[in-house]
Amino acid sequence: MAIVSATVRPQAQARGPAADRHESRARLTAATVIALGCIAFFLGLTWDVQWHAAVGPDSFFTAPHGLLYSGPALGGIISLLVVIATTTKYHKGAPGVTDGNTTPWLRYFRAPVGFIVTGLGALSFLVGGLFDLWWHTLYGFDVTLLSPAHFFLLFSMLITLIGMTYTFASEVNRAYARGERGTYATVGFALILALLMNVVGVFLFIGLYDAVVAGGLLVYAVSVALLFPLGLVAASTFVRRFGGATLTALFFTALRVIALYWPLKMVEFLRQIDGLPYKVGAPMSSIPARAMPVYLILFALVIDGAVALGRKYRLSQRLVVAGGAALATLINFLLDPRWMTVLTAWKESPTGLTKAEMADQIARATLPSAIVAVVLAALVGLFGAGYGKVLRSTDK
Amino acid sequence: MRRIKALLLGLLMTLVMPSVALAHGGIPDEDKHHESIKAGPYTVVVAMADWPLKALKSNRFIVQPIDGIEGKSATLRLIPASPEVYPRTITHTLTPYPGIQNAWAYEFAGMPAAGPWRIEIEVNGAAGKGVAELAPVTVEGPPGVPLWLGWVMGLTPVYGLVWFGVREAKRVRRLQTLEAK
Repeated sequence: MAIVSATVRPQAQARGPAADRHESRARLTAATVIALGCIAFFLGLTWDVQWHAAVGPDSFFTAPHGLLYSGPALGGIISLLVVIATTTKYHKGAPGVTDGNTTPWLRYFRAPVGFIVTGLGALSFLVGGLFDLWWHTLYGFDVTLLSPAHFFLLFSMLITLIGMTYTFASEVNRAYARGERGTYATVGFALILALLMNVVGVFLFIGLYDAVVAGGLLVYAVSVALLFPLGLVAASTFVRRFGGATLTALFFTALRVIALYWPLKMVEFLRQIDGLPYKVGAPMSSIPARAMPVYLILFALVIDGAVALGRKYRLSQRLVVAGGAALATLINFLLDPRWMTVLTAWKESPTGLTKAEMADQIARATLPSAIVAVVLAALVGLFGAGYGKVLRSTDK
Repeated sequence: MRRIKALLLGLLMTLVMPSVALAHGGIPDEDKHHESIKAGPYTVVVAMADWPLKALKSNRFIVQPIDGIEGKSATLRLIPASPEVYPRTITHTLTPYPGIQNAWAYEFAGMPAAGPWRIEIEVNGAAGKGVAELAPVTVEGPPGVPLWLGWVMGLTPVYGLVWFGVREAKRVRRLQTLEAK
């Protein structure tokens, strides 16, 4: 008997819903701590962008940078701990940690794939920080978000957040498999997806400042068509109940409201400590929130509605998500032509372009941009549905 | 315990004191290029944080009239020698800058293109209007690695994301094939 049990893989003993539930609770606790870190990152990012725009003295060791880097740092440390703990539990044959709910990595390690991705994103963020420091020695101090090093950091953070969508989605699926509702994990999933879109939303400001028109198209309109259909269709198709996209958009809007006020208060606080005046003409409204869509809840309702109709009448999912994404993008394009703020709040252009020249460029780019945005949104919607499908098939 | 508290306080102070780059005063000592020129009735000192000028390298010009900025305004013009160098003249109204007293400053993303440029400063005040021109400059090419290579490097995480995306799409397709069987 003893010989037989020694040859059986220890994980095979680890079964039972209680052990599985215990493991889920541990993973959700770790994910919640990382989510708090991601919120800290978002608060640091919005504070930093506003600080550069309104006061601006530049150095690496600032409070906004401290807050900003604490997010991925926390994500990296917690992910590393989860990978080590899960690997140890797996090799010890602890209950609740099996081949069925962990992913192998580098032959020896076993961990939920979401934490591996989040950890790698955090590591990449660290490399991006060094890249950014080096880039500053070449090209000087920060005057724009549009730099290769900043995009390295942005995409690293997106990897961290995508890892988190895997972690929460996996917990939703595991809860379903146990016959539970998985509400906590669903809410966490929507929050992370919203944060992802808010972080990119800060960078959308590039399309309202550094590069308004490129290749004859409105950069902002095209970027909106790439980002929001992807995130919201993924949310709508992944969440099994009605309103996945709407819940995500509600979180997005709440974070947008925070981004409207928080950076202004914190810049004022830091400015007073430093005894520095504002720049002449410093923006007294939030720069990071400026490019975030106002009507995202409506956008999401259109997508959720399309997906729900598709489910009810058994229509092709491809058709409904492509149609829903295209319609939502068109409505947003017409309701919120944000690029026009470039003209209404015209300032001297660092490129020497005059207001009339800019108005002319925008006018010529409007119709082609609308067409490109709608077509792109339909295609990106299909990608979003693919992402949703991948997330539904994630439980390890 | 006291040592830890002192350490934490020190760390906090480092984080909330970002003003190491700019002293509270006039032209910072570390500025690399200074030129004193006459703009009609006004004498101004122009300082540049980075010199020689390189295309796309961010810079800060400080313009300091020797009798202060009170009651005066100024405009900076960056004029390309020809449309081949750059198609437009860049005009910027000079404004005071946090931490720099009695001077105007222009902080910007750098000269947009390499080649010969002229830099003009117009000062308006009680004594009338005066225009000064700095010695002609030839802006060097962008510093360090070419910008395209910077972007190839900057998009590194995207390559990882694409790889992961393809791998995941294949995984789900495999699962669906298994389910179909």
